[in-house]
Amino acid sequence: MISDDLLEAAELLISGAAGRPTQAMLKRPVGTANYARLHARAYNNVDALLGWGLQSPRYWDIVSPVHRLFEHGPTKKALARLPRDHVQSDLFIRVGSAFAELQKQRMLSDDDPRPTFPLPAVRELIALAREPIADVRSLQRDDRRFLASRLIAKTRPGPKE
Amino acid sequence: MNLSASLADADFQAIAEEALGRTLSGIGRIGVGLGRDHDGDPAVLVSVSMPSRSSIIPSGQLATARVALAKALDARVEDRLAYTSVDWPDDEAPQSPDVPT
Repeated sequence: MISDDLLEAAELLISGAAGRPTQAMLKRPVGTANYARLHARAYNNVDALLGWGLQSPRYWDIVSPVHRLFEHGPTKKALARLPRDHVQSDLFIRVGSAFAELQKQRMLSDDDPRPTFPLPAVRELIALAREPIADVRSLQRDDRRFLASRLIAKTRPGPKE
Repeated sequence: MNLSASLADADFQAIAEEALGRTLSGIGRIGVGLGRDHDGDPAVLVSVSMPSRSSIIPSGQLATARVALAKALDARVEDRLAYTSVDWPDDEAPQSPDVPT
């Protein structure tokens, strides 16, 4: 899967980081690890909502929008609401917490010129990115569908809410 | 009833210390600040200072700690998301080639 390859790429980027690495050497793996967990989430969207076995001459026209159907801000809030929606699974809370934390670090690594990351923090963030990827994969199929459905932007409250 | 308005800074500090102290071992001082996250949303910003020569906290342990903190805040009907960063006192301060040293 792409997410696994991206994690491997992030590890490769810091494998040569010794002494006092530059911020470029330290920020790139943070962004790469973040994209790993984004691709894992996107993979789950397609797998849960369409199925990767979809047969269509317009395959990528259908798959691509679903692959990337979430927006960062609404997704962060939707995941944070899961406990309030009576979803008490620690796995969902772990996924939501990691999503917000990694997105924050991604913006620091990609968009903020300040030198931010010491090497231990980068190693920690790469390890952190592995957690929600493993968590989502460990969910039962119905839970993975539920998770994907929560990430669709502009969901409306149901009659019981 | 929304109780979040009644939470004082000391409450956040106590909640963070209880949740993280219960789930993480060998950590140093815990700092808590109220601010905004990368999207401009109100957030609880928690920092964990590691003692000198500490090992990296295993990611599973840190994830468990974040869950404990999220649940503790949720139990107080606190809407703000918590972000937990780890400070490494042994590491040299990050530097930028664009800033004179």
